[in-house]
Amino acid sequence: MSEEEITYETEMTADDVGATEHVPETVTQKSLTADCLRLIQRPGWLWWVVFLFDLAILAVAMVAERNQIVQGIGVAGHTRPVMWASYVTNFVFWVGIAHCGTLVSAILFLFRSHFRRAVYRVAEAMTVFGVMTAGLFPIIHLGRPWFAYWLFPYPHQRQLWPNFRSPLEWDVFAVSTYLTVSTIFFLVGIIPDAAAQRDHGANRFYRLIGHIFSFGWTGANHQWKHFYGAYLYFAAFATPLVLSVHSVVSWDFAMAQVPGWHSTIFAPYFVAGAIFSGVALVINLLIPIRSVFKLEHIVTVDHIEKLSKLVLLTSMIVTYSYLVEIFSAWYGPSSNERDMFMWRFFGHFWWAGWTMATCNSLIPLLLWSKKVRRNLPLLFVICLFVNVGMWFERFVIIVSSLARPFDPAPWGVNYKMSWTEGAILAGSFAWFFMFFLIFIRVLPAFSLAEIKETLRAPMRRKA
Amino acid sequence: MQPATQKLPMFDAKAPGETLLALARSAGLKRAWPESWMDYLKARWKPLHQRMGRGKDFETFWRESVQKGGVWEEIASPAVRWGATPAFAPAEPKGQGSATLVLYPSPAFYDGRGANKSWLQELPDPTTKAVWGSWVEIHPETAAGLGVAMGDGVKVETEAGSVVLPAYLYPGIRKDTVAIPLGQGHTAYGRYAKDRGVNALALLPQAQDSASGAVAYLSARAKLTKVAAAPELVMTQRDKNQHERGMARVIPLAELAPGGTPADINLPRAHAPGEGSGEKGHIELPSQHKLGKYTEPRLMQEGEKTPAHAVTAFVPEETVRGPRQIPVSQGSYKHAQHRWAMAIDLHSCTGCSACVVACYAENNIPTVGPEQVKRGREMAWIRIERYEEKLAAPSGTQAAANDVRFVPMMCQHCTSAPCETVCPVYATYHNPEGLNAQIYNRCVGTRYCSNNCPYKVRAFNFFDYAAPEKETFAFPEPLNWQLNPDVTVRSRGVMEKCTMCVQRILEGKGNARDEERPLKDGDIQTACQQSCPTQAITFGDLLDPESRVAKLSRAQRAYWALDELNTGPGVTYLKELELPAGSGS
Repeated sequence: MSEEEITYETEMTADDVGATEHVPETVTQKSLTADCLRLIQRPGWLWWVVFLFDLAILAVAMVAERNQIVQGIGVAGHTRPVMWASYVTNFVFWVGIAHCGTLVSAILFLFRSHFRRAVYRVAEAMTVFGVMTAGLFPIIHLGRPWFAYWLFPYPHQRQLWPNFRSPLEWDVFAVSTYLTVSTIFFLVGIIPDAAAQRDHGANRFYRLIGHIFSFGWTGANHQWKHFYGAYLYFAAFATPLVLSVHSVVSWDFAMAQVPGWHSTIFAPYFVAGAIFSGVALVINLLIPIRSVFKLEHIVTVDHIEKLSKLVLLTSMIVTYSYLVEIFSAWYGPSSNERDMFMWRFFGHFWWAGWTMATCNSLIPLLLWSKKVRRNLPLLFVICLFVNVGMWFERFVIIVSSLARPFDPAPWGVNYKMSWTEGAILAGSFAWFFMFFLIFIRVLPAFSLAEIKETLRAPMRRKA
Repeated sequence: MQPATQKLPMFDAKAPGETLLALARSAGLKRAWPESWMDYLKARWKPLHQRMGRGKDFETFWRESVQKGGVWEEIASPAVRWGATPAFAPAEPKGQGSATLVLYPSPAFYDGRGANKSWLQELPDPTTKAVWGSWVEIHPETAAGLGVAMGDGVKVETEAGSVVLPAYLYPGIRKDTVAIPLGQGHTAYGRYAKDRGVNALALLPQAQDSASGAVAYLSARAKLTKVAAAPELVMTQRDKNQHERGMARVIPLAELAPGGTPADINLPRAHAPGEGSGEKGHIELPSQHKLGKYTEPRLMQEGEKTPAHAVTAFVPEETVRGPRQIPVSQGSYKHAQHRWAMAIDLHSCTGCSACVVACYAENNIPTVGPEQVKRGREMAWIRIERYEEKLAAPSGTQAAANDVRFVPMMCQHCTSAPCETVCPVYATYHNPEGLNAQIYNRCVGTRYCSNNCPYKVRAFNFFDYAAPEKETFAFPEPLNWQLNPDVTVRSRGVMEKCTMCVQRILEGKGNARDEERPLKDGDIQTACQQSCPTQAITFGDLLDPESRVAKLSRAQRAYWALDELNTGPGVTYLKELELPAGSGS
């Protein structure tokens, strides 16, 4: 069955969609399918160079990790007061990255923001791979990683349960739930497109992948009905998770009594921060993909501009949170808290504190200008800064708070990152991009079915 | 010469005398040497036998002397005469420098004879909190004149030689002197002593103290110059200001006893614990006021079952296999019989750190070396925090004196312990007797407990200190023989901390059970308590209202460290007394 024969069951017609959410009129249903499948089937030498480079970094990281397992977690830079450092920073960072996908695909779906159609598949893939990256770090950072499974409540002879009062235990459930739901959501959304790949793939390999992920899709009317029903259901199911998962992650800190952690604002603050960094990374991924694979007509500047408005919005929320934190430290009764915030910006880690403030609060202010929002190279750089800033935000929260505990005796034992941690941080990006690079080679990275909904009907154009 | 039951199992060793005899023989000294050290000693005792044998035959005399440990006789005590003028005067220090050089024996190594002990090398110096090296103490103003900051390299030069040392800026030293501890700088002696710090004796000109004939330690002036490179100053506590966190508190003597010297400085507060006067500083006992049954190991009644938590290897397993068989009243927290606690008198603590070494010895704590200490990874379960406070200058005296306070800090065994709720696998939990217990083999090493511990008393095994095949092994031969068999040697990746010597608690309870009597106050002593020369540490049971620790915990001087966090520590500190100016201290 070719795509022309598919009847789309949707209330939305092309005319209802705002002009900026259009793809250009030159795009036809046939050219769209061809463009997206071309991305899969003809990667070019650049893809291979990037992919091999990525694997090389990953190999270095695996050597570092092997070293750490053999010798002990001491090869990382942890000190007596700073018992969590870059690994937990990476964990929170990647969980944050993972938030954007569900936001773009589920929440914007529920709000009928149609610009998501061009970008949501990339965002969803980013979510799944982001959680897969994040999930490694709670294991990597353990003193005895080979016992990580003890955190799961499984029945065993000694009748030992994990401690359900521990926020780390909540993390286990939050992150594993999120991984499950976002993976299902991702796989459900890709079904019709995988079917297109199955039918139009260039060789047996691509058709086989399409076969597997299309789950026997024929494009029948009742299948579309169930498809949209399921999609709506999972969107509704995933939406509260966007809020809950990062709230739970923030409670790792907020539930502890460390000055600088023990704060009720952490849940909304972390959720906003997660979306902030996630959307910025989506932009960072989309801009090179659309230019390298010549897809400017599918992912238009309008689409990216809308995403950058989301970056601006969440940047404002994050900035507000910073100010509220500082205000409540000043206004509140705890001198430890006040001391903490002075130290955060003027103590040993002042550079991290100011990096965070500059990248997350000041630089995104440029996005108020429409010219900047539509200037893709500049936008790309701003979003890179946002991601650096968000990594440092977590670093500042974790490391600078821990380095200044209640008892002043251990003060001054400051954390210094080791090469092992640096390699594993680089490796986490390599791990993420390895999946992402493979993904854009084997499955459609843009939603054929949903973009086609916004195309004008062929008949109407002829008339 | 005392009889040994058998040759030491681990070493093919000889008595010192045998060694000397063997040396003498191999040196070819032409003399008739006795067959063994025993023969030699006996020969030397023959004249004593003549003088003090009282008619007994030699063998009897010898055996009795060995049993008693020696023979004694009274001697007339010589008269002592006090001279009006000193018999000697200290020599004027020689040399060109600006500062008088003071060499003092290190508290840990004395003159250097203790330097090959890793426990002592890793023991923070009571004054500087520095480990594994040497330093030079300089007054901050003198240092500012040289442009030297804490830890900067300083070249100390005398007529006899020069050394390069990291500077420790210390307001407790005179501005025209510099001080260097003795005891380091060995070129041989052993793996822990070799190449640590510098030998400060190299700075002394050849001079003898005229009165005693000993080396004249105070005989040189030193020239100080700043240098770029110096060995690093590794300290366990860098910041000696308590930043108004109320770790070390004082109480003026007048407040304890208005108008006079108190008869007892440990008088209780006006309010009994639990009454909740609501006044500021009111202190309540940690949890578990009520007496209970069933947690004390004791002789079992016929047909009685052991509480599940009290199972040992000596109790047959079938009696405890089904937890449901045990009534809920048994082994529960509500019915605990003890609440182990500690009271530490800060007025008695001199900061000598003997407790720290005792803790290393008792609890098989590994030493980790200077590179790890630099990162705060020392494994000590108890540390002596040193805080230097400026007192307001009392009128009529010279400028502000330094007030140095010490706080022995170990796991506080909090009633509402922040570490316990955050462990995802229950590796740390509260036992019915109030101990904050750490289960090493359940720990996966998330280190969350340490992050949430406000006292930062949890030590993490960053490397494998217990595996003989690893480079990081902390107990190489013969140190493995000093390991306490009652205490686990912890492996890599697990958290550990003070247990209040739980092995000694179990031993005490077991002894009481064997003797079919209840535990008495003082039956159990922790290692730190036992080794404290000033008896600043008291351990005992809070549920025994007559115990020393219960009384001290209610004293007017009592406070809890960081009590605003409501952790309810089991360790109560007694405030240091602030004595009136001029009374010494």
